[in-house]
Amino acid sequence: MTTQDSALRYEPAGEDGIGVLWFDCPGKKVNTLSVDLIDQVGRVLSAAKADTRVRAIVIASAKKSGFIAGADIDDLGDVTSAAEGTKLSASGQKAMDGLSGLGMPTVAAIHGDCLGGGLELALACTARIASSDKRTKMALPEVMLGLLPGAGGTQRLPKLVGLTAALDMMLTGKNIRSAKALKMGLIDRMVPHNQLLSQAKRFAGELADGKAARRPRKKKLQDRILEDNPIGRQVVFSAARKKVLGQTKGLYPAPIKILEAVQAGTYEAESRGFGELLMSDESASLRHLFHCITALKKDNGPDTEGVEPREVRHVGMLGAGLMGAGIATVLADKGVTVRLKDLSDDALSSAYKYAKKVYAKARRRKRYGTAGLEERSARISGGLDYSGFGHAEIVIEAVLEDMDLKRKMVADIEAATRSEAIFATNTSALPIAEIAAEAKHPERVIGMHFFSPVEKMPLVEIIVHDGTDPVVTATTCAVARKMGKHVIVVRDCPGFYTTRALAPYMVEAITMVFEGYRLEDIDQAATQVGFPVGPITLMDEVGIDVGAKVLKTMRAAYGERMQIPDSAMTDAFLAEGRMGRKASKGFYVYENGESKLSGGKKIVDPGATKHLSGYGAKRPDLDLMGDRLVLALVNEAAHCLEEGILREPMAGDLGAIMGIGFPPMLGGPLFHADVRGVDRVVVKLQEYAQSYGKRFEPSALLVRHAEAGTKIHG
Amino acid sequence: MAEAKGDRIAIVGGARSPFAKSWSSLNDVDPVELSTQVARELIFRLDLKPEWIDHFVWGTVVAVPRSPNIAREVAMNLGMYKTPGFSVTRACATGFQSVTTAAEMIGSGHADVVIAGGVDVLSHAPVTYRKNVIDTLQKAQKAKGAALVKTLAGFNPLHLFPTPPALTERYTGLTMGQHAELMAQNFDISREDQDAFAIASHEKAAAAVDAGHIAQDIVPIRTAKGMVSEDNLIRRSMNPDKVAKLRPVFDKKNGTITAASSSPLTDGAAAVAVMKESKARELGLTPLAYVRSWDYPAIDPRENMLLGNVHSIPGALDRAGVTLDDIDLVDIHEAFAAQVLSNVRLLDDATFMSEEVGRSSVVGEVDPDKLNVWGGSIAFGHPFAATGGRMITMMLNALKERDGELALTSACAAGGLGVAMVLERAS
Repeated sequence: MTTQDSALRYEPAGEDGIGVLWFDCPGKKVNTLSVDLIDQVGRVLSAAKADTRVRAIVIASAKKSGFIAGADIDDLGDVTSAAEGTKLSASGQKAMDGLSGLGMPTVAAIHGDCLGGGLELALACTARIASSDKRTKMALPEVMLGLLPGAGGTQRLPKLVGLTAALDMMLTGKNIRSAKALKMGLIDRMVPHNQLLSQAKRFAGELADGKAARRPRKKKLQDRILEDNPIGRQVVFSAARKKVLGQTKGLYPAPIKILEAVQAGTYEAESRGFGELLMSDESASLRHLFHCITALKKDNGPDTEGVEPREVRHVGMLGAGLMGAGIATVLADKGVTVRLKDLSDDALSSAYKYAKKVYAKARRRKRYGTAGLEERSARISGGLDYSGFGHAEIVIEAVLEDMDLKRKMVADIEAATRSEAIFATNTSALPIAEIAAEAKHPERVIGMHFFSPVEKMPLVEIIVHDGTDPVVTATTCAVARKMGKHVIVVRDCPGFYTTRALAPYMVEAITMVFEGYRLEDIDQAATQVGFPVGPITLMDEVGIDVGAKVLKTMRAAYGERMQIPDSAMTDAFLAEGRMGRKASKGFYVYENGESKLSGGKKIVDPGATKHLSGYGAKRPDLDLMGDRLVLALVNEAAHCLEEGILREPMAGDLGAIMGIGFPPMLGGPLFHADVRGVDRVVVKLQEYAQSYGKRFEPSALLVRHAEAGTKIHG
Repeated sequence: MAEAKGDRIAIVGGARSPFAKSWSSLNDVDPVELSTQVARELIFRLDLKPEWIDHFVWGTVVAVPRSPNIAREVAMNLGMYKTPGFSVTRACATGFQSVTTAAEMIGSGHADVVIAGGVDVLSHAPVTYRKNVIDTLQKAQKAKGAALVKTLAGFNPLHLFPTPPALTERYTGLTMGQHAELMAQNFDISREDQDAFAIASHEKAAAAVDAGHIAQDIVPIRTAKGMVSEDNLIRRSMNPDKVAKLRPVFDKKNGTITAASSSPLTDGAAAVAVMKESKARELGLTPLAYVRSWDYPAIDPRENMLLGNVHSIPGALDRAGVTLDDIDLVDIHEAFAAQVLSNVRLLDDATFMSEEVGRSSVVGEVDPDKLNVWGGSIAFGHPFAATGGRMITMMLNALKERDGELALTSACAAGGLGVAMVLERAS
């Protein structure tokens, strides 16, 4: 029988007695799963059983791109209560049970993405066979959305691959490729892609004939000791819990719920956990973040539609310092050739070494072999002049933050390049229009704000000035995406979005120092909210000189909002060479560029605090301090949206999370305002404005939404 | 004249690595990597777009077992997956062979733009085992259990000493040095003349370096220990007394050739960009010189093996339609001082010309002021397949610097081979 207009197509068994159930979601590139669909699977297969010829069933995807990419997360937004979520999960469990209790062997034939609910479905089959293709990957990424695998995954996976491996998969959400999956027992067989269906059928036949048993997982000694007895299991759970709490600082409930569901070993614990998580702010935030990522991936860059990016194969890179080397490393990794220019062979040499180190690390992780390393290294070359820049499609500049120097670079590149090369200036604060002011072709000048270390930081902020050519914007976005980065496109202003949003947060932190709070308390207030590092540590990392310079630019542009109480301190710092970690001298104590720790904690440098009268006198109120930091940032993000620096709120959320470490489980500053209630945020800001200064006066945008009772994300 | 349908064969630029004594500064750079760096820099210096390049031709004398077709490896290393490449070899004339092969491809319409290079890294010369070792290993691979024990039992571990990679002429069983020694005897080239020639080579090379004529060709090479950007074989001051006291290396008793008057084992790579003249202009590039002619004769190597110069020069001059008088600069590869001096003498020897070369007249006397004006292989070193590229590129610069029009370059090669090429400066 064939179900019409459905995501399922049943291909009746032929002489071999193997029926095939094809997943083919209509009108979509990938298959996604819903409870309805799983129910349908049960119904279709029960009906198929009526056919006496059928001995076993293969479940496969008719999509080229993958098996099943998981549950449709948009559906989850409709759920309004934990009880409803629990019910949803329970029906998913029931449907999966229907599949596993079919009464005849089922084999999942996996190629491409097999994620979340897709993998849970595969787990409910009798056996799994996967293509050896490198695109094939299996994962339970629910944790990244603040959820748990709610269709039996927390129960089936540990039974299949063992407790330790199952927890690792579920707590990290990481991708498992076929070879690894075979080794750990997640799949039973691995075959070339072209043989997937035929081998799956053969496997199903063997299972039906009782000729093939499922391959039992070979247990490592360590696993047997730890997993096969209650005490050992207890050890695994408590170690995992400790690790989770250490990593999440208790800010993310999902990993704990996953542990609890596995430990309880019941469907009930799983579905209850699912329902609770689904209603949590954390999950809403993480799902929002996911939504931002997916939505912004589709943004071509310029406001104008239908602008196609130019192809970029060769990039000129001005400056082979840490930033230049990092950018070159990532570009070359993605197949682009890079020509560096710097002032000495030594500078070039250290850039080559930097790249090689990154590639060697990837090779050790078996991402590629020696040939891959050599090929990547060979894509980076450099010189002391502009040789090799002639045919660059884009030149990225990472020289010092100095307006005159940057303008000279623009002029040099206009002379040195043949084609219509884009000049992408990597600045964290200087206005792009000013850099482009003397250019012959200002339309080719654009801002490309990278974050250091480039190979690790996931964001590129692209800044267009009023005259930037849309093709230039589209091409620059395409380059950043090719580098595997998230991209936000913002309008030109001092500090753009990320630096500007961060500035009041830093100002607030410094203000707290003057108020008498201890440095470590200020840092803790931030990390407690979910920032990866506190503002004081961040200042040391970025460099106090750099931070001071940026804040000066910000203050000149935005006045009081960005005003630190007393700049004499920074002057005194810089006078004694106190520039942060790079100088081994900052707010905290460093030794040879590394933090010195005492009892696992950083040590405040008394030399830094001696400049402050009444330092450390104030008793910390971490919640209040954290909230001041967060709201300072939220308010500035709202200013940016109001002024059109941000074109839409999602870019503000994604940019803050990926670029400046805003807590992901708050969903971004603007989403956080929505979740908390814009009206409440406005009241709080007004209160802070009263107590701490006018810098907290809420932006007009926030006030407007508060009055109208609307959300920023419409 | 070599022409491609009315078009001349243009050389648009050249570049080379530093030439380094083997097992010194370039020791950790393998031949493919060294070639890649030189090719890439040449391409960037000339501002060539990858898709303009139709072919890579690359030469090696000492084979690279891991990558026998080095030309293609270079293309792939440069990410030019769609650019074909093949490799050539003609002993010490290999560098010239790359260029003339490129010229022939252009002349026949098979390519417009070719990167022609060569590399030899003697530090990476393959080490081979005796045949019986190879046989044993092959058997051991298949054998199991008792058979394996038996196979290995008959094996003499001493045989594991590899056969040294000697620069021996297979046909005569003599090394190049021994052949040069024979020539020194046959043509009565004195030890004093050889030593003086060698010292002059170093002096001229050092002067050229100081005048800034050499650095322009050199591509700084990335090595694990940092950048290498200078030749390291040129001696700035040689004590003639010490040179005179050196022991002969090839014939310890009666020989005249020493380490000082021979070209040393060297690591290096060189490349030139060869184009159809009209194509170069279409791409907005300026030809530096045109390849006017070349000749590759051969002689019976048993008696005087390294006479490739005197046998090839007349042919190349004839084909170019010029005489030695028209030539502004002469550059003869210095395998050995004795070989250069023998060949130069014979060019002006009527009897030899008539009996051995079959010509009724001599080529003439080579003006010492025109010969190897910036030094030669004795000073720079001789990474076999890279020497041609070095000589051609150096001559282009020398022609420009001395405002000359024509240069004659020539090399002798193992197997009784030789090459001569006439280059014309582009005006």
